[in-house]
Amino acid sequence: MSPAALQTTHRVLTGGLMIAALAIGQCVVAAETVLDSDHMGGLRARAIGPATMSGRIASVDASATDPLKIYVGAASGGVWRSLDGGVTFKSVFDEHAQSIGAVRIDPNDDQVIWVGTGESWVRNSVGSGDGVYVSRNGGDEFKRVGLEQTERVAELLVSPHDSNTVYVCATGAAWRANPERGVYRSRDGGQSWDKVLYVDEDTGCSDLAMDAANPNVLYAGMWTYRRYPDFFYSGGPGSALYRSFDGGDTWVELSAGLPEGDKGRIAVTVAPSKPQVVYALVEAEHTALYRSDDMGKQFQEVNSSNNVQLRPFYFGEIKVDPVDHQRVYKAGFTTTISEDGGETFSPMGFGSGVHPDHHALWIDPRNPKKVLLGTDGGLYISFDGANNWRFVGALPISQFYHAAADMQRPYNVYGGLQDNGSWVGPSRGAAGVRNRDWSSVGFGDGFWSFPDHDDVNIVYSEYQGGQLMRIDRRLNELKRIAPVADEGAEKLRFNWNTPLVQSPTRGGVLYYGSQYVHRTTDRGESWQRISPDLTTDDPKRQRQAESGGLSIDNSTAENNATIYTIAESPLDSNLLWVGSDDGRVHVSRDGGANWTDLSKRFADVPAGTWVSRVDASPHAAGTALISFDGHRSGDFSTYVYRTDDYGQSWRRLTTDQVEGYAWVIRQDLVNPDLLFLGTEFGLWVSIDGGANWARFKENLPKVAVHDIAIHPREHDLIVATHGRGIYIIDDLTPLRALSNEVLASKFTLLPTRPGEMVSGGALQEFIGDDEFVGESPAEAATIAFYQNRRHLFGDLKLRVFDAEDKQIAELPVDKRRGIVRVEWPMRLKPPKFPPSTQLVPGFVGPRVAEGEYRFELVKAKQTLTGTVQLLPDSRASHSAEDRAAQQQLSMALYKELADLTFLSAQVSDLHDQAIARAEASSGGTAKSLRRYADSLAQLSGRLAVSEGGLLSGAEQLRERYGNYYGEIVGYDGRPTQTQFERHQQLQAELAQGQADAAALLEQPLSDVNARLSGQSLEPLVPLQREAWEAEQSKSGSSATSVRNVQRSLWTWGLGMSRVN
Amino acid sequence: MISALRGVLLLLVGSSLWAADAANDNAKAPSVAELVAGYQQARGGAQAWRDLSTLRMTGVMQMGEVSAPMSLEYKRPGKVRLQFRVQDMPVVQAYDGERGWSAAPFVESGLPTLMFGDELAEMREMGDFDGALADYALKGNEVTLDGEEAVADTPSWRLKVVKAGGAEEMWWLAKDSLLPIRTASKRLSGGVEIGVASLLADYRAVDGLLFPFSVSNTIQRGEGTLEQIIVLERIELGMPLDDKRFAFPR
Repeated sequence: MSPAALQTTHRVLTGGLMIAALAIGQCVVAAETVLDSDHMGGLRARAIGPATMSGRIASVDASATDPLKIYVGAASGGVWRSLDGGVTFKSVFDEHAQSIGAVRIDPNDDQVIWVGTGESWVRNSVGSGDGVYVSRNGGDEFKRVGLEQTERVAELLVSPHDSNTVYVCATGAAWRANPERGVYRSRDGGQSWDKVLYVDEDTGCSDLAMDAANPNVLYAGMWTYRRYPDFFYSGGPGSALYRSFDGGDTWVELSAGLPEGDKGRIAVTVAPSKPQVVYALVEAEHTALYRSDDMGKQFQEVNSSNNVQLRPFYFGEIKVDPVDHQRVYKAGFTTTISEDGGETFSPMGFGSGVHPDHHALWIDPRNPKKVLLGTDGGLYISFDGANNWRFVGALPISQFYHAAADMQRPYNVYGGLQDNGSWVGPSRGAAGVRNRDWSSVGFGDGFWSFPDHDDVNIVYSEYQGGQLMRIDRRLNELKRIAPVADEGAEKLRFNWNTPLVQSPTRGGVLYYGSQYVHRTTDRGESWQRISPDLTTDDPKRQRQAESGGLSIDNSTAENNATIYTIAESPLDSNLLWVGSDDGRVHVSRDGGANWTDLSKRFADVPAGTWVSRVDASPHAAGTALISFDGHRSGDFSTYVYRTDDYGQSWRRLTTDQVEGYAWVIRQDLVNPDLLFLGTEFGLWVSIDGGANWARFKENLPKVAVHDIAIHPREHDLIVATHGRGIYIIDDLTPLRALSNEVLASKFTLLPTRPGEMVSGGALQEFIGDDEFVGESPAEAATIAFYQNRRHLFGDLKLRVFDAEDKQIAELPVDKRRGIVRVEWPMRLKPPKFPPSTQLVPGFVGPRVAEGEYRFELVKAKQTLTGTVQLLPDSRASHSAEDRAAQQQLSMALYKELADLTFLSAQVSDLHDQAIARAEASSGGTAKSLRRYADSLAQLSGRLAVSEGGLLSGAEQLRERYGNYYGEIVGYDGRPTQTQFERHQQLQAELAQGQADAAALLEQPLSDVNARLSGQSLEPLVPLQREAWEAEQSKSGSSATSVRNVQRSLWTWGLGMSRVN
Repeated sequence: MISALRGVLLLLVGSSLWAADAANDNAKAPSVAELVAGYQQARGGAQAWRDLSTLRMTGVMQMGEVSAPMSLEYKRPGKVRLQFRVQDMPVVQAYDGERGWSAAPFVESGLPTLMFGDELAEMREMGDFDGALADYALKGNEVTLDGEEAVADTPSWRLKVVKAGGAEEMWWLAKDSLLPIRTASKRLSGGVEIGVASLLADYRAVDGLLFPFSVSNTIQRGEGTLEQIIVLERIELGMPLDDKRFAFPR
């Protein structure tokens, strides 16, 4: 085919595509475009952790053949993989349910990873799973293979002789009866499942063990249990220990030597080195550890010490040493170890600093001294048989209940966490948000935590059951400030997660909920009860003291008939909304003097359903949003409602598009149609007041979102996840502008907040790779736009212009559909440098001056124009004059470096010409040319180092200029007087070089050209600035920001000791 | 990690445009042969590519926060030279059809050094600038249609390529154009597995052949990842290229 024919074909094809695109576009418009997840892909969430306290781990496994491969199943934070023995971890399960019950590596192939979702340590705050998954490429991709309704899985086992034979120990639903529980078996690698052991719809599998010598021998603990909003019961006639000798085809109950009567949770394990020895931890009226030496035919009680008996529903993990059948590990409040077959237990190493509440153990079969331990506070590794432990700081699986922010710069994020107190940490940091950047501001199980409006050093935080504190952070001194019942009055009932709310407009004014609403106006020094009992006060819901079943577990976790959510209207401080955990909703319009019961105005919501959040609208006093959460009653529906008439009427907002029960609903501070909803399965967004919803997916896992805050100054969305820490979606401004009309457009510019030129940076430090580092926002001004389909043909780029309309930047643009953000580092291109053998700290261009900049967004033949505002760092003390002085000096250096580079290029070019002519000539002409070339080389040698790399000590004008440039550009304020003087020295050196070059370009050049002319050779022609600049412009490089320059260079293998 | 750049640069030449009726027929999945034939036609035709003797691409490579002007040159048979400049100092990696070498003036000795092992194998593979799909059967590559998938919200055909040497690549061809919009591969470099996933865009025609002028790469090494963007500014075809540019300097 000829080129012309090719081009013709091309036009036809391209034309066809355009017609198709138009048709598609028209179809989309006709069908009304509604928000989907991809529309928001350009608004990437960033994780700031923290991992300093990590979070609960439900399961852990490592490869028997390659112990560097570790897989961690977080209780509500997904699956994490380490390929380096626990130094670094990567999340590999982000698009699936994050509540994990079991993760197991196929013993025959460590690329095959099985995950049972739904944690089996069924505490009150436990999450929910949705089936069993398998990966056949080491965790890169997972596929669900069924058992969706099992809700939670305690154990997974793969036959060591047949990868297709897989057993699932399904604990089953926690808050309802369901038949999808028991022991399941697959003979075909998960394509189909048979339920091979089933008792009843209240009894699931609590543990499963396999005889290492014969995989047909199995032991299963079956457990009757149930959770309710106000009660937990462990135990019943269905609980029993079973054994199979035929791979699960048939089972017999093992009872000889075990307790009679009702039993509770049962854990079971087989000694790998002596499979006749079986250990069973049996919850009963008398909970104890039992041992059998004959494969379960007969058991003997061996131990009933405190750690053996404590909280059997939560601490049901026992493991036997791979080579010593007498050495038994019992996870519990701490891990205790027996060396005598369970007769006696001793705590593992004292003073180890290991977080209590242990759930998961892995012992290296080849090196039993290496132990992995999963706790409520993350993963620990021991190399000396559980005596001393190394904490893994690379797992940001922190389980937040709530989040708040202050107005510092950068602002800080506050929140309480499951069994990990309350913490505060920065929203960004020069070297990222590090574990050490977070500070503790509480104890126990933390919930609400925030600073006083008027004094950021005063922080309120609480722990379970209504324990409220006020902390002076200057001293770390805390004062207990919880309200108490009046003498003789009914005892106050505080929820596990007691609502603590600060007035949105008044510092020192707090609300606290028991069965009553309490208010303080003096930071908790005194309280007023401002409501009657706003709950059902149903005695049947007040059985905490009896909760637990066979093992009483009175931890306040099941406290009920309590107020759970309180909101004061930001528009009317007398307007209060209150919701309770037993389904009551009240409003007061007179500051609590009178209350109206709204509980029966939600037609679709079953009576008594937990009210998870009330959000008082910042736009209209009569508007509020409310979410209900029925999961503790077995109802996983999503309930969100809105009123615009002070609660008289409500309309449901959620649609079938949303997945998961609702934890929190929040209306945007600026756009009343923009709503954010946190459910058990992620963050959901509506831009049309709840008519349509889409899940926010970009870098935000399908994790339970328990709270959402919006920063009023930065316009960031702060997302508190229960299992993956804090995420921040920077700058909601573009999303606020995203209407259904914009969605229907093809290409539309969206507003953004001004760009802040952050001063300062990270100092030298080398921390290794074993710590999670939270992501900071880019040091860039952001420009945003919307396009209705992915860009494929022609250019898509951004051009930025200065006040003289000179183009100062051209940036590549993401091609995605939906909102696209372009980050402009607010700098010019890096400066020019002459060639050398050394790197100098000049990888970034000078910052542009603050002010307004015009930009053009070019998309094929379309161009959109806008402006972006740049502001100085408000924290910095530099005056406008000082910043201008720095900017002017930076720009002078930038220009002088270009002058130096041209000078060097001109001299080198002339030198090369002279050498070339010398080789083409002879006699005196050649000698003359070589002498001339030597003069040029001598000058060139003064301009830049030509030999000797790092640490050679060599330094010429280029290196002096480069180092000086790094000093000046790296500081945003006025340079020192010394630096100004140094500049004059360098200018003088440059001027001398230019003068010397000019001298060489005059008479000496005329002389050699005359000789060349005499030999009919082409004269030497000096390179001209215009030609040089034209060539330079063809191969420019993009502007970059300072952050990570050093890391990038090291990654490229271009390591150097000093960069700006 | 420099070596990780090489694999992704292959994409710059292994992609182009075609709109085939067969591929647009959602009712029936096209065969691999149809898809690859269409893909080759889209590139300007298989023969036009075979007739191409030399190729030079210049642009900017941004990795992390550092960017550098870069050029990539090819000459049949199998010669390739990648060069990028940092502070106007060239980093060169080249393969002359037999020997691969690299030089960076500001690290270690700065002298050109011969490659070996994984690095050399990768350079050899890079010399095949037609890409793994073109003439796949002749090269001994196995290509299978691995399913359909929306990539970056674009419906695509997913092709799995097992190269003659055993390495695997995945290609996603947009259904409406058969343009490659994503590729993914894994390779060993210095004994460490490096995965590269690339998004391709900004397609433009150069003398009848179509090239993506923008490639966004996610490079994974172990559990760490790095983002890279390559923006091409110019592509030249059929220009003279001296063999010395590819040969190991003596």
